[in-house]
Order: sequence, then C-alpha cells, then structure tokens
Amino acid sequence: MSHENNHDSNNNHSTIAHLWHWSIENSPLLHLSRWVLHRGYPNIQTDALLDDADLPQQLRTLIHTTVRKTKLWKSERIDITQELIAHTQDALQAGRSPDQITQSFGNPKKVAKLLRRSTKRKRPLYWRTLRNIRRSITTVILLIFITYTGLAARFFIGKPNITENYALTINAMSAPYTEEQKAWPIYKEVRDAWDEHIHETQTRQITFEQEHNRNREDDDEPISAGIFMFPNIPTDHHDYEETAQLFRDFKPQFDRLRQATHRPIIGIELGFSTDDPTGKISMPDPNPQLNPSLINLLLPHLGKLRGFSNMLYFDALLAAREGDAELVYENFSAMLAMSRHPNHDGTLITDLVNIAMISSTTQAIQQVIREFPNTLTRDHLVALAHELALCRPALDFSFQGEIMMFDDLLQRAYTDDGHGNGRITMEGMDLLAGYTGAQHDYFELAQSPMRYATGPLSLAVTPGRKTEYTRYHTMMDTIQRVAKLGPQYMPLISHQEDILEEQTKIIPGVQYSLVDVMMPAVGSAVNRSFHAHQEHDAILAMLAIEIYTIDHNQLPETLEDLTPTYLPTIPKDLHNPGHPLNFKHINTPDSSGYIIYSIGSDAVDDGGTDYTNKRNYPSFTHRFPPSFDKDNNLRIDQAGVPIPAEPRGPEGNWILIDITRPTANTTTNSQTKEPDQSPALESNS
Amino acid sequence: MKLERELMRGAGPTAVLQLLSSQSMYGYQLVETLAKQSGGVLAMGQSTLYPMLYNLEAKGLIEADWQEAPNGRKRKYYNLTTKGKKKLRADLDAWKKLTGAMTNLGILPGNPDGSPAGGSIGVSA
Repeated sequence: MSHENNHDSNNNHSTIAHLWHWSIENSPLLHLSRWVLHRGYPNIQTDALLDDADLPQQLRTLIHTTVRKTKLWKSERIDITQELIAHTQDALQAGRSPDQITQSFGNPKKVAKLLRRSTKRKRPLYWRTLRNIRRSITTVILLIFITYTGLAARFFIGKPNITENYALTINAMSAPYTEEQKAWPIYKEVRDAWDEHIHETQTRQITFEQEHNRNREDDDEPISAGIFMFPNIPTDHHDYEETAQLFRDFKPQFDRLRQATHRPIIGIELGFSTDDPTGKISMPDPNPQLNPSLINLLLPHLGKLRGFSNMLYFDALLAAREGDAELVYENFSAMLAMSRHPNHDGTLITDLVNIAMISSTTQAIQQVIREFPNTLTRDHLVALAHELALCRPALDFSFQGEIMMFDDLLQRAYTDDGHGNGRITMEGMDLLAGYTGAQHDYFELAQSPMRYATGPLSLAVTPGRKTEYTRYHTMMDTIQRVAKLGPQYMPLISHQEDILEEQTKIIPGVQYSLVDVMMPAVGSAVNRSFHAHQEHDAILAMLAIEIYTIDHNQLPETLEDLTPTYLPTIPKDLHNPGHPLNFKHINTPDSSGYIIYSIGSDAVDDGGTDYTNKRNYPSFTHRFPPSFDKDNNLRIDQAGVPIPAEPRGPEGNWILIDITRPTANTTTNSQTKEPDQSPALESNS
Repeated sequence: MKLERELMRGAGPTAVLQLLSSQSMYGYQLVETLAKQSGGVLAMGQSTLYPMLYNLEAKGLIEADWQEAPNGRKRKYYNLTTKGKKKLRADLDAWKKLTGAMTNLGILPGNPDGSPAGGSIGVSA
C-alpha cells in the first residue's frame, strides 16, 4: 500500500514536473526573455560548452561557426551545440580524424540553414502563428506597396493627348457667313446702347437676384421691374410707366434689333474673354492654337438673347395697348426669328434657352390674342403661323454640342492608347474634382502632398476611357432615339438611367466617373422637349382657330373643322397616344372663349381642369413609367414600343391654350389676367 | 554508392524511423548504423541527419531525450513515438508497393507478389 502511495506520489510529482518543464519550454514570457538575452549575449554559453568539450580547434571552429550562423534562440543553440559536440566526440572516439569529420560535416553555412529551418519547425504553436500573421501582414503591405507603386507610375506617367479642337469646330460654323449675315454685332451694339440709355435716364434696375429673393420672401408681392426676366409687368405697377417710356424712346434701336433677328446666323465666336470691367459683352478672341476646353467656353449670348426676347415681349404688349398691330406682329416675328439664333453650339443649355424663347413667344402671342382681340389682322396671324412652323426644328434637341463637350473632356482627362482606350490622369482628376461638389475641398487638398499620394488610387476606382465613352454614348444614343420616336419611348431613358446609375455608383456617395458627373438630366431635358412640341402644336391650332373665327365669324366646333384649310393635321395629344388634343368651348356668365388641353400625365380626361405648376413637371416620365417582367427586363411589345406601367402623374389636365375673355357685363380687368390662370369651366361644346 | 538527393529525401526518414523502431539511438550511432546496414547507400553526414531528425521531431514522429552514456558523456537519444510507429507502418506499406511495382516491371529482382527477394521488412513491436 505504502509502495502504491509512493508510486502515485511519484507519478503526481512527475506530472507536475512535466507541466513545469513544459511551461518553462513554452512560456511566451520566457521565450521573450530568452530572445532578449539571445540578442544581448548570444554565444557565451555555447562558447563555454565548446571550451569544456576540449575539441581540436578545427572542429571547435566548425561547430562554433555553424551554430552562430543558425541565428536561433539561445536555448536552441545550446541544444544543437551539445548534440554536435557529442556527435564529434563520438566520431573522434571511433577513430575519425578531424579532417574526415570536417569533410563529412559539409558546408557550415548550408548546415546552419538546414538546422535553422528544421529547428524552427519545433517551435511552439503560438510562435508559428505569430510568424504566419507577421508574414501575412508583411505580404499584404508589400502587395499594397507594389500595387500602389505600379499605379503611381502609371498615373504620373500618363498624360492626356488633346487632338481635337472642338471649339474651333463650333466656331467654324460661322465661317461661311459674311459680317452682314451675322446678328451678334448688332445685338451687342443694341445692348451697349440700352445700358447707356438706362444709365442716362437714371432708371432703377432691379437685378434678377434681388427680384428672386424678394419674391421668395413674399409670393404675393407683385412682380416688379427687371424687364429682362419679367416682361409681363402689370400696367398698374409703379415701374410700368417709366419702363414704357424707356421703350418708346428706344424705338430706333429696337428697330435695328428686330432687323438683326432676321439675319441667318448669330455669328458669335465662342471663347473666354468677356472680362470687361464694365460688364458689357466684349467679342471674345479665342486663340485656336490654345485648343480651349469646350466646357469652359462662355456662352454670354444666351442670357442676352433671353433678355432681348423678353424686351420684345414687353414691347409687343406695349404696342398692343397702344393699338399698333404692325409693331406687335414685328415684335413676335422678331422673337421667333431670334429663337433660332441660340441653336448654334448644340449644348443642352442652348437647346433649353431655345425652347424657352419659343415658349415665351407663344405665351406672348396667346396673351395678346386673349387680352387684345382683333388687334392682329388675319394676315398677321397667317404670317405668324408660317413663321412658327419654321421654328419647329429648333425644338428638337440635337445633343451634338453636349456630346462634343463630353468627348472633349475625355481627351483632356484620359490618356489615349490610339484605340479609343486610356486611363485617368492627374489632369483628369483635377477636372473631375472641378465639376463635383468636391471642388472646394479638392483645391485645398491640391496644396498638400496628399493629392499626389491619393491620386494614383483613382486608377483603381475610375473606369477606363473606352468604358466611359461607351456608357455616355449609349445613353446619348438612347436619348436621341427617344427624342425622335416620341414620349411613349420614355421608359427606354428611365431604364438606361437606372443602368447607368448601377454602373457608375459603385462607391455610394463618391462621384468617380466623368459620365456620372457630366451626364445631364436627360430625362428632364427630353421631357421638356416633348412639352415644347406639344405647346407648339397647340399654338398653331390656336392661330388656325383665330383665322377660322375671322373667316366664319364663329369658333370651329371641333379641331377637325380646321383641316386641311387652316391646319394640315389635327395636333396629337402626346399624353394620349392615338388621340388628338382636346378642344373645348368655354361659355360661362363671366367668360367665354375656348381652351386646348392635353389629358396630362394621369392619362385621365378631367374635362379641362388644369393642373398648375405643369411647366417644370416631368409629366412624360410619369405618364410613361417603365415596367419590368419577373426577370427584371424592360417590358416591350412586339412592335418594339415599351409597355408603360400605370401612369403616376397628378390629377388634372394640362391647359395649353386658354383664350377665355370676360363677357361684356363683367368688369374684370382683362389685362391683369395671368396666362396660366385656370378658367372657370362650364362647357357648351 | 550514394543515393540521389530526391531518393534520399524519400528513403532517409523511413530508414531512420525503421532503425529507431527497435531501440533508442543517438546521432552518431544512427549515422554509423545507416552507413553500415545499407552498405553505404544511405550514408549521411550531420548536415543531412540532424535537420532530418529535427523535422521528424517537429512532426511528432520521434522524441528526443538527453541521457548520460556509460562513459559519462551526455548524448541525445531519439525514440519512436506512437505517431511515428503509425507513420513507419504506412511508409513500409508504401515502399512495399513501390518495390513490388518495380519488381513487376523487372527493375528489381524479387517475388512477383512484390516482396523483395531474400526476406521481408516490417515494424518491430
């Protein structure tokens, strides 16, 4: 029993000793301390062992050199030293000579390497884990560094290759024309004269910004001066009479302006130099050799033309109030002729100004016919109808300038491999930053080396030139196709916009793609173009109705009565495919006349109840939203026409023409009626 | 005659495990025994032996123990572990198949069943 107890005790003791031994062998702290000692005094103990072994110097050196070259931990060196000493002593004892032992030993450096590798495999798991982690981190850092170095080399070496001078291409459009055919020189003279005129007369000018802010604070405040933006000043406005007199006194210059509008081309050369300290437009003088960036070209004529158009609008109303029918017609004719002039560079902004000017003209014609009936003669109306019809091509967006602008940016931002591909450059990143909200921050960043440090990373997140080109042109091709085919094809744009968003927004909130930055709101633009077409059709129908009324002394019963004598075809309702615009007689105790309307984006005929604020409403997008099948493919019928989802537009119709006048027994001041005001509807049609 | 390096890399560990299957041995003893019993074919120097032993130790196939020899000097003795015995059995099986294949191909003389001529190999208990 006692023996068994002793045996157990020995076993326990042995287990504890074993654990103790293990903890000494494997304790990280001990390993750390060994490592420190090893770094400080690596060979003291091994040297002592070799001294004690009393080996021939040749063998002592051999073992010492080998062990030293292993660069192992101290305990490992001691262990190996002891083993090699024992081996050598055994060999000597067996009668081997030092030379034989040395020869069989091999190259100390090679042996040390093999010993080191195999000994390390015996090290504890935690050490091997840490080593693997360290190696992984080092590998990752190394890979990042190599990748970044490669990207940096590609990024900083790459330079854009600007070959196309698009500004020259656009300005060359004016080249075939003589100076006498260009309107811009006269426009500029008239504008300068106007500035001088109002300066001489000390007229108070309220800028648009002031006017805008004022209206925002109080929407009920009547529109004040600022004739360039608000031509429809009420006659009882405190600035009206002074403004009217200004216009009467300026008639000779307006005559020159009206004549200039009929010149075939505006003839302005686009460039940068309009920095006239007086604020007047100066003729830009771009140096073709500079190959200026198309997006930076100034379009000073757009604002001026818009202003002139509004001035002619006001002058037409003034002439109508003073009974000068010829001057009314001349102003309208000039407005229509002038509306062709912005269409010079094919940019979206130009197309929108174009449409705005035509729309403004049709609004003015509508207002004069409603508020000053019988002023314009039959001949005037016929002439205006013909002139309006000539304006129709100007309502089609070409997007050519917009596309040129993007292609120009591509060549300034990307390298060119000669096959249409390339990579983003530092210049490209500057452009990207310049056209995004990051501009302010970026230019602060540009002062620091961070810009150079982070720039190469853009290569990793920015699509290649060919990808950008393809994405942009695919979108633009779709837009151009839809603009030609009609609003029923709007789902193609919505769908393509979704695809583009997927493609360009890989990193949420980060605009890293030129396409993403530069793609205009194409859906809205095409929507606006369709509206312009609809308004244009309606105003032509209105002119036909007015001429018909003169000829028959009564309104037509339906639009069909107008064809083919007064109107080649009945205008279609673009919100209602296959159906004409709606024509409705208005006859109430207070007013009489007619309206022409579209059923609107809810696709329901509400009998002519107007939906206000329609001008900026994306009605065709909402009338024809895209629909998708279960595989998320756009639904298209066999004829290739997209099948729209349910209309999403608001209730109400879109009154395009409103010629309702107060009846004789009412005292309403017709001249204060707003053009878009809804009529009281009691139909008798 | 010495084996090619690749052959030694395959045969050496099995040979060492086989020697240790019968008794504990120290380094020099292993070198001598290997050289003698293999007729010099498996003779290896310290540069080959010790890294091989440390690798086998790292894999848990053998274990080492410092012991005092009768002459008073300390030697490190290597023993086969349980894991090492299993590995040896597997290696011997593989070698047997290999030599059998070589015999069938006429490369080695021996019995058609694969066992080499003149005896068999096995693990001692």
